[in-house]
Amino acid sequence: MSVRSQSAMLAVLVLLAVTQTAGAMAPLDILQAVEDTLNAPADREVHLSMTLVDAEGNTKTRELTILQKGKDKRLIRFLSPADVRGVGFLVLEDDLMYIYMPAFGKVRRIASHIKNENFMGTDFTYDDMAQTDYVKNYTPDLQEETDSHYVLELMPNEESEIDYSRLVMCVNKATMLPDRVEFYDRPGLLLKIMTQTDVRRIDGYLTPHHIEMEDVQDKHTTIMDLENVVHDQSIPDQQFTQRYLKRF
Amino acid sequence: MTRLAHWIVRYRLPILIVATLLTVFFGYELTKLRIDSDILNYLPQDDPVVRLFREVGDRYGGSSLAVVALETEDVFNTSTLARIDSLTTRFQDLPEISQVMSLTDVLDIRRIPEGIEVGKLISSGSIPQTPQELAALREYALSKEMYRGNIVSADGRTVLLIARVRDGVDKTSVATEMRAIVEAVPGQETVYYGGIPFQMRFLTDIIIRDLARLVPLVALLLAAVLYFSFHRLRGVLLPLGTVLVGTIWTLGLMHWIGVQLTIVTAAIPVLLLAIGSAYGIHLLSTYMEIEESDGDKLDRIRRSIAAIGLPIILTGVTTMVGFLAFLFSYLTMTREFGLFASLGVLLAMALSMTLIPAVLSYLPSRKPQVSAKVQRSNWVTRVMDVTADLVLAHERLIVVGAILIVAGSLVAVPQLQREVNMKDYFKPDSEIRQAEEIMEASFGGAIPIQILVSGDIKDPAVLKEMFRFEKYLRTIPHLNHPQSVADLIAELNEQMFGRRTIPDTREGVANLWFFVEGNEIMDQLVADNDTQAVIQAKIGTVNTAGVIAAVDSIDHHLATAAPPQLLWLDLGTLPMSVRSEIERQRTADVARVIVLDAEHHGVEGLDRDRVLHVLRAAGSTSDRQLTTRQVEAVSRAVADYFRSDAADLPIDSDSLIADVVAGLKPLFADSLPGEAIIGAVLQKQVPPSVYVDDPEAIEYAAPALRSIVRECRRTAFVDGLTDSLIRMTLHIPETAAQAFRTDIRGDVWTLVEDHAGVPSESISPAMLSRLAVNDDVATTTLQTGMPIIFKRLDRSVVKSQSMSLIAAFAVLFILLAVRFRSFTGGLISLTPVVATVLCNFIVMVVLGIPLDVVTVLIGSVAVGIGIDYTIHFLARFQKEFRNGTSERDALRVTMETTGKAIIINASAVALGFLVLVLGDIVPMQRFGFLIAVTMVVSALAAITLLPALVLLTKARFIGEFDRMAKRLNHNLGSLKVPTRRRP
Repeated sequence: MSVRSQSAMLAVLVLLAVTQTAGAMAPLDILQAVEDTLNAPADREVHLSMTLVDAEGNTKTRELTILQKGKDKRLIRFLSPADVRGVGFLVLEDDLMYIYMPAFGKVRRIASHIKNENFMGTDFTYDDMAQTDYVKNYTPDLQEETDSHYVLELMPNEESEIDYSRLVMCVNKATMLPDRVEFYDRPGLLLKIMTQTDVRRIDGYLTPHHIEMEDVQDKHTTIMDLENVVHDQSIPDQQFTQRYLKRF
Repeated sequence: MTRLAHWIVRYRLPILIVATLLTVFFGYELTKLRIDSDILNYLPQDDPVVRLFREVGDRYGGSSLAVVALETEDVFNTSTLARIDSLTTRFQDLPEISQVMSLTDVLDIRRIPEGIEVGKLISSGSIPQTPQELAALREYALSKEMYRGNIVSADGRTVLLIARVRDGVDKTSVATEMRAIVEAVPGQETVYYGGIPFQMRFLTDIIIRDLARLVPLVALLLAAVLYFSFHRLRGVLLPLGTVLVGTIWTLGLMHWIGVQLTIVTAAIPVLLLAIGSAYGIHLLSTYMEIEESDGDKLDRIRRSIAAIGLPIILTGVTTMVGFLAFLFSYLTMTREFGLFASLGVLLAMALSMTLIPAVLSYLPSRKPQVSAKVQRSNWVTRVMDVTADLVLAHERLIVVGAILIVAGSLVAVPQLQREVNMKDYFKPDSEIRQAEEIMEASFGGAIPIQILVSGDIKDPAVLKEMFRFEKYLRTIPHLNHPQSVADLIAELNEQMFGRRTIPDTREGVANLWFFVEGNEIMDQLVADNDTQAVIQAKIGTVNTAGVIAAVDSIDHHLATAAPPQLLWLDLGTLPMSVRSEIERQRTADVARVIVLDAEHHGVEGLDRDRVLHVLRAAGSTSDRQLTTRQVEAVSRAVADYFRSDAADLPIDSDSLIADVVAGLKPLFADSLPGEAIIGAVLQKQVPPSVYVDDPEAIEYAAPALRSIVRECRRTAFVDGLTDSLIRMTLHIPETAAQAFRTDIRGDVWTLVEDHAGVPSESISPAMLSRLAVNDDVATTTLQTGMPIIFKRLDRSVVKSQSMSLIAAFAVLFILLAVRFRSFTGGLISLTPVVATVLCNFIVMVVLGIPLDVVTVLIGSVAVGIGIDYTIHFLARFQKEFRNGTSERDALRVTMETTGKAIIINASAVALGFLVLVLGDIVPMQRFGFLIAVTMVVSALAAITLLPALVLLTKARFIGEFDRMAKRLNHNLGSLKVPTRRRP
């Protein structure tokens, strides 16, 4: 276990301790703790399978790897099905986004203001996939506290470009991870529900291994099952360039 | 009959009580009767065409579109866009609506520097505010074929919000809700409502309005006629009341057994009032005649029933036969009409014979004053006498006239127009017609048509076939804006790589598909895990004939042009002979498609032979030497590559780049160099220090450079060929120039692709086994949509017409032949109604009235009612002939009595139906008018053609013509009459 991950873990433990002793945490602190937990590792490589289920129950399965370093370097690579094998997305800071299409051997930039659009047929928007800047984008309010959970209501900040009217986040006190997030659309109706279960401790980091995003309006669900998670490999920055996006 | 009469009188009290109770019950049921204006429900639900239509609708989010159009000076202003946004969101909240397409919610595929944006034309919540932004949006939206003439008119004055209504929901209530929403979001724009759901809403409204207005009017008219005939209150109330009770029972029963009112059955109340009162009138007038004689009141009632009962039943039954003939119709609504109209006649008849006597038995009897009727009708009698003499004098002429009508109808009937489009139900100045006109003029109509494609939709062969098919669709008159997933893929390809065509590999398709995967528009275009897709198009409906022509063109193309099975082959793997044959075929296909594009864009001067000649002359890319300018273009592309972020071998130094490009130049000027030789040049030219931290750099750079060169060579070839084709044109409409170039450039691009589709049957089995192909693409295509339903309706209208007429004629012939105990009698008595029906067709052709779901009923209704005149006339004539001494006397007496009654009755019925002309439903207006004309014609035929035929043929069922000593009475000697030879 690297020094960084140890310190991150320590931070979580300290937070947990604070939670238990102080009793009532300020809503912003809870949200900060969640964000810190999510962003604890220096980098992370995840291999996952993604299943899309439509209203009729038809399913489509994809396999992909996600390489993440810090908050704003991410590379998503599709491994299956065969006809999209190698398709890669590179997401950099300032919402720079690139796609590599192996069938054409070309990298193309994708406009940044589509981050509220769904990502490649899933129920996650490009923004949901990032989902790490909670404190910057939302103002939390503690709605309810139970023995096991905090229920936060997150209202988007004015300057943020969030397309939801609000989120309701159910934070597990034991992990400081959201077990469940409800997304409400602009008119205020429930749009999507994300649930994160099967939380495992990998390399000292708490990682949910089963994530479901259900679009309750379109009756469409995206299920992500994490299969292989590796943290803190000191992935070089070079990996997150257009040049390496093409190499597959 | 006497026994029946006794029975009726004995049970008069129970009859009254039961009738009252039933009237209360059915009256209550009647209040719950609903109107079903859904044209789909008028069709038999087990028809495969109907089933497919429903299935497709169900799978692709509904097959009917509710369209709201906003019209203003320039729709690209903040307040109009805000209103569109607000309406779009609110419509989307309706559960009956699967999707809404509008300027504020429509897929947009847009080129950005070095990339692409796949999003919404106007992102939610970010409506342009400044004049510059609005002007930019206007220019952009109007420049794209995806929007122009699809959701915004080319002049920017009208925008559409197109809501796809789910199948199986109450479309009229959706229309009501949508209208309420529009009214709740005010704005300065003029609003129009179009599409089937709104048409249904309007139709329901005007059916109700027409019923509420016209039924009382007909009743009033009937009351007036009755008052003038009987001069007594009971003479008005009894027949009128009876027929109203009969109508209430009929409509109440309809609801009770779960049948809804349709545009056709809505005619039943007026119909029953107009024809159902006759039975009561006959009974009442008989009773009044007898009332003048002595005897007990109840006995007089019994005698009346006994006297008139049989004629009433016979005329009632023949009328019912006319209506029951509709049971042979294809359309559910027509069958329902036949059933309930005949039921109504039965009830009116039965009630006249039971309820009227029952009521009469409780009314005081009185002797009427001797009326001046006889004197007043003298002139009528004189006219009838003259008619009788005319018939006697010109019997041949009359028959010849009838033959002329038959001959005329032979010419006229094939020219009968047919109209089954719902739009035609409304008056030209009605709101709904205006909306439809806007849709047609600026948006290519609002009636969706779908072509269903089954197969592996992600297969390039299938998509290319769809894309090509759409290009054909665009050339069909009245067919507009075909759209499918193939368009989206081609559009993505265009915006991303500058070629509006389908990529030739499955991976290429899949890579692009990724961008629209999960987009809501895909739910309307693809289904069943990408094994089925639809091409959506719209039909600008001018008339049914136009719709059917379009439908037939599509069917013809589907049957002949699309190969059922294709092999998708990599040309590089084929022997040269096979390859060049496939390339020849491909070139021919491309030429055909280019001509289609030219036709669509209104480009002149490109015929297939010339295009093919140019394409063939161009050869292929591989054997092509680049011009100096083209070599420079490739050099620039290569240099750009080294400078870009995506370069596998990034070089900062311009001089080094220049050296490397100079080293590569000799390789790509003449042909496409291999990776190895490119790699060797790079090894030699680029110092190792450049790639010291990335040893694989050259390995990656060589194929990347090769593909850049290849792309450049292809681009040069395609651009050159596109230019040659454009130079060949004689005229390109200015507005279409850019789109035309993009389209044919995409077509030409096909020529440089590595893969091509070949119909399986064109390759010999021996060759097939050598190729070891496993990509065997099978597709099936089917057409569905409202236009097909219209075609079905149209065919059924014709079928209904012929079937119902044949059935009515057949049954009536049997009835009449039995009645007169003569085969000839059956034939002769049928002739006037046949002539009447044919005459009706001639009137329709002359006045340009089309055959539609309502006017198709006229033939049989005319037969059912008109046959009564024949029966009455013949019966009386037979009687007078047998009792009389001369043909003339017999005819005169018949004319003065029955003939007169026929004319009066026909006029009354015609007047009743003419009231329908005041209604708002166009087919009903036509129906009313035509029935009125038909009644008059039918009455005239009964008193002229019928006796003429009888006299001419000396039909024996009438009596012994030989018995008549003299044909002519003495005081007719002055008339010029042809002498008749006796047989």
